[in-house]
Amino acid sequence: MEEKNSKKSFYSLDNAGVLYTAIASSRITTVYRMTVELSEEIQPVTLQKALEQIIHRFPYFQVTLKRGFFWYYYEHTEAIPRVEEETYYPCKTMRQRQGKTFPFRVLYYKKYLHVEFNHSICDGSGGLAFLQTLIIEYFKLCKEIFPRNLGKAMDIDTDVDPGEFEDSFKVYYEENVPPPPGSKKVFHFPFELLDKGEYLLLTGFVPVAPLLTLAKSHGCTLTQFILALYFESIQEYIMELPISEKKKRRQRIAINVPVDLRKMFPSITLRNFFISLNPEIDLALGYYTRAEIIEQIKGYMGLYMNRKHINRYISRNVRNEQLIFLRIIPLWVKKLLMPLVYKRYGERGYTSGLSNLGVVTVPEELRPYVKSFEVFPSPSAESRLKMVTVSYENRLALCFGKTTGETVIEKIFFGKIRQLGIPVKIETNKR
Amino acid sequence: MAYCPKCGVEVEDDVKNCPLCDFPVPDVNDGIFSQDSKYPQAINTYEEDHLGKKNQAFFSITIIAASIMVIIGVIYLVYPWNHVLLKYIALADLSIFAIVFFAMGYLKPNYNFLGAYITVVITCLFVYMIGGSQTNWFLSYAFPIATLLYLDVSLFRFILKHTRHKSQFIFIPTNLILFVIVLAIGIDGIVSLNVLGEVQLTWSLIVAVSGLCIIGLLQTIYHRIPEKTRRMLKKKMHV
Repeated sequence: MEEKNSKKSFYSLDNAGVLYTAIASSRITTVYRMTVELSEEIQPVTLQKALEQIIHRFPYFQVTLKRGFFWYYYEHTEAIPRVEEETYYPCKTMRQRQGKTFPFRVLYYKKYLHVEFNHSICDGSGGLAFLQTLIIEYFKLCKEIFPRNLGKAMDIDTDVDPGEFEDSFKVYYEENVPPPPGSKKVFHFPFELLDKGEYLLLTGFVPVAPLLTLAKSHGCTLTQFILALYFESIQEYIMELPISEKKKRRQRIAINVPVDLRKMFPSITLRNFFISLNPEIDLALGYYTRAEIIEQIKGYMGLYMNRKHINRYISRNVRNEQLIFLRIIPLWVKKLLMPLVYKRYGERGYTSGLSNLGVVTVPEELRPYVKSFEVFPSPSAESRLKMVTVSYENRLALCFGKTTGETVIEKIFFGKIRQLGIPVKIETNKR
Repeated sequence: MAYCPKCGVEVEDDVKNCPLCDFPVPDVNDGIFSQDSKYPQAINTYEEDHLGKKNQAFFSITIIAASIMVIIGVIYLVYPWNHVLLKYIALADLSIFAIVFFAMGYLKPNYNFLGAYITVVITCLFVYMIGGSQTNWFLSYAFPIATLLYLDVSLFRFILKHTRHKSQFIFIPTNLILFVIVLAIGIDGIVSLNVLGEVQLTWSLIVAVSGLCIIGLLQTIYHRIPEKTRRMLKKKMHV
């Protein structure tokens, strides 16, 4: 069972991982969460067994973060991760204890199974592959279901492909590509932050079909349609601000939209491989109608979502990582400075984030047992409210994660969906 | 299934208020819930996680401060050395320790701040008592100035708290200038009271007037002149 590849004991961080480990703090934990609702209560013992069975197939996740002199790195550990019952706030910061902690945790609560990943180890796509494999193994053990078609999940009896843990950013890096234009400061939510360590989740479940029909009638994709509704909600919020905050009415709204690069640049990596685009509307130019926002988004995506433009981002990021005078700064200095630099420059270019993980499937045989999927973004201080969408079985989960107690944006947003005649179900961990 | 009557979204059975609009959701289940809430009552571990490190640091500082006290005490009792100097060292040790304690934020911010103020006053009092000066500088200068600073910083914090999310380019300068004005008037008052025997403001008035002008200007930029006043001004100025 033990593959030779899994003997690799040292994994350098990928390009995005370098940034994520440097900026991680007790508020910006860089931990995101994936939730599955099953039809029955979770059996912790079986779940633990399933986790033990699959972990050897993911040697690049069975690691522990170590401090190098210049950068962090991941080192293979023989320790076995443990499942825990959920008792803390979601996306809690991951403390790095040498050799004991993993860059992910598996939690359960009643019928819900949560996997929280540190963003430095993998992005949503990699996380989903792990989660799906875990679910399949869990049902193998407790229901003796052996699905034929595994979909995107890993077959735990196969060998580890080195491509699964490659840093695809470096593979597609080209030296002489000029960097993309810099970002401008945009509107940020002026909401009061929650106490450190707290994080609120709010999910709205909506049926996919009516939304898809509406998106088609506007001639855009589902993501673009939701993005447009989100833009519209933020615009409406700004327009309702008191007259003394007039200046805010002339700001830009930009939303960070991560693009999964695996389709554009062939890769099977489970590590990070995405680039964010920032479509924006400028309120100084006037009020945008829904049709105008959709046109704006479609135009932006049409212009920028192509290999050539994306490559500028990849090349800039890799180049920044390889800058010699950045590399030689000792880690503790980096760890001191990076959060400040990130706070100032990292998130000033976008108001909020919207990430679409697309359609998630499970093998046919497991469908009756898996009720829903949700994915929540990692907490952030500057963009206090972020959204991830994921659809499963014709139900779209619009998952908000926020470091503020305000619900005004969600209220406007779901109000708009209700006005379209689409039913919404709200679930939250706010008490 | 429960619905919010105001915004029309479906909510979980056991919620009392709509999570979006906070509107009360009628209890359709007659109080019988399935107790199937999706999330547990979450525990915030931030304090706990950080308390460990903070306690370690505080513990080391306590040991250092305590050992200094013991050393000083022994020297005081055994050697007939300069006693006044030893008293000063012990006092400095204690007050630095107290300030560090308040700065580490074990208490609520207001109490920490008050504690720091009291430490300063008590330290001054002891310095005065150890030194034994002819003039009563503690009551005439140290105590009033410390109190003035305390009140002024309190005012600064109060205003900052209420204007934190408004334009930083307007409100932070305004607040700072206000702080300086109050400080200047206070110090001028205290000095003149001690020197001349009565409150006679001189230079601080210049600071105050020019400061208030800048504040007025900044606030006008932010709030804009009311339409009516603007029309009146236009008429008077013939513009």
